Formats: sequence, structure tokens, C-alpha cells
Amino acid sequence: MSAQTLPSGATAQEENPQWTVPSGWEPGPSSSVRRGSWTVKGPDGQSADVAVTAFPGDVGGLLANLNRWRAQIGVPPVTADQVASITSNIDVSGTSATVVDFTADKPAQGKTQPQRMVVVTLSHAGNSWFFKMTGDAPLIETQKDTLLQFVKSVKF
Amino acid sequence: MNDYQWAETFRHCYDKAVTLYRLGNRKAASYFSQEETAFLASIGCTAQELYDFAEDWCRDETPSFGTTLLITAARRDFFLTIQKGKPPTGTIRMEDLPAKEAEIDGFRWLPRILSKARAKLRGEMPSELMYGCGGDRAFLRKVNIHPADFLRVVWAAREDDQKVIDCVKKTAAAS
Repeated sequence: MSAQTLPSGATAQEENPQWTVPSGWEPGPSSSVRRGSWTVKGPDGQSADVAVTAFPGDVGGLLANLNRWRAQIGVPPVTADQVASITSNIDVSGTSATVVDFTADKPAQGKTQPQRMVVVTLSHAGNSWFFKMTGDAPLIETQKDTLLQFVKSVKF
Repeated sequence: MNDYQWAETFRHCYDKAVTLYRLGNRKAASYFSQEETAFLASIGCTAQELYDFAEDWCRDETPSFGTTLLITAARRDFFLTIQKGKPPTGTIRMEDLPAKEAEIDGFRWLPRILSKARAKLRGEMPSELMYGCGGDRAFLRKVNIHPADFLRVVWAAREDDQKVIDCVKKTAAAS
């Protein structure tokens, strides 16, 4: 075992909040990184992945993460002064959460539909929480409100 | 399965991986026989993970076999004692990880390596991700924690990120 001494009295990682999982969301791939994971199936083989993650601190801040998410589905980056115009806010468990939503212009390789990503992010107890839905744009068009309702059901 | 000899058997596999890499074979899946693959699985290790260590050794002469063995031993211990020898059902997704630029309390890379360490302990590493990569080594060298020791710190901290953060702060301050 390591020679380092672990400090006493340290606070534990924030536990998962309570939430209400929408009907139709099937359990998705679980991992040590995901606090929650679901798969949504749509018509014509469409699908979306829903992931809840949380990390200590601000993990780089909104702009850096926004551009990283945009790159993940092939959407060009934005500058700091563009952020306000492409984000909105909702209330989650008494905390203001930021919503971002963007769609690729064309399908990525191997996909038949352009990909869309909706992320709701908030800070709570020193952690950054991310509620992210990624998948086929037409399916996400029908699921965005469901995602927002899910996030609004979160109770820390 | 000869548990007493596991480190020697692992050394055999490691040396084989280094030899094959130097011969130009870049297909990790082709490196090991069925028996060798089964041995690696019994200690919670994959061909890709061993390939990555061999590659970095051949290219950069780091990490050493000693470090590779210690990292593998930490994973093996977690696999056998906590997971009872049962492998996970999947791997983490790269897009779920914190960015390399993310920092906490001034320690850039710490959020990312913390997630990587948990995934490494649990055998959830995707093929494109290496625990103990150059970025990890640079961070751990800076805060003066051996890569295998960091895994054990994360293990001991369980789900308490703050314990790991405080440990890193203390070690970095003392170095």
C-alpha cells in the first residue's frame, strides 16, 4: 500500500440525487464514470444515449466543455462572446442549470442521421454535474422535453 | 493457474510484447496465444494494456517493467479481491472523461486521471485509453506519486474524491 497518509475528516463524494427516470429509457452501459446511463430507442433504428456524470470542481468551465462536446459530434467551436446567445437556463433543485443544444450539419461516418447533443450542466456542492443526451437528431427532437423534465426531477 | 508464479508468467508475456513490437507487429490482438490471453484475463489484464506498456517502453524507455508490474498488480488485487475475479461488462467512453485541460485546486489533469484510475482498477479501459500514459506520468511525476501508488490511493479513498485531492496536495507540497 502507498506510503501517503490519507487525511482524516475528508468529505465524501456527493451521492447521487433522486430523479425520476422517464418511461421508455432503458438502462444503458454502466461504468465507474457514469452516475446514470440510459439508452433511448426510436423509429427506424434511431437511438440516443443519456449519461449523467459528475466531477469535482469546474472541470475546465463551460466554454471549454461546450467546445469539446461540439467537437465530439462535428460542430464548429464557439467563442466566449457567443456562449450567452446559445445557452439557456432552467431551475434544478433550486440551482440554476445551463442548457446547451447543438446539431451537426450532416451525418457522421457510419450514421444515417446528423447527431444532436443536449447537455444540462449545473454546480452543486463543489461538483459539476452533466446530464447529456447524444444521438440521432430526429429522435432527440422528440426527447428534448423529456430530458429537461428528467433533469428538473433531480432532487439533491 | 499457478498464482505463485504469476509475476514470472506476466514477465514472459511482457517480454514477448516488447519483442513483437520491436519486430514491427502493431496488432495487440495477435500478440498472445489462447493460454497467454487466458492468463492475462485471470489477472484482469488485456492484450491491449500490455501492448501499450510495451509500446511506450520501446519508444520512450518508460514506464519500466517494474512500474508496469506494480500497476498490473494493483489492478490484479482489485480484480481478485473486490470484483471476485469477475470482469466488468463494458468499458468507459472516452467522451465521458473530463478534458485533459480540466483542473481542480490548481492541479491540471487531476480530474481526468482520477476517472482513469477508477476505470483502470475496474478493468473498464477502452482500447484507445492507457493508464500510465505520458500525460499521466508527467502529472504523477510532478506530484511525486508512483502510478501504482496512485491507483491504491484511489482504491483506498473509495468514492471520496476529496481524499484523493487532499492526498495529492499533501504529496505535491512535500516534494
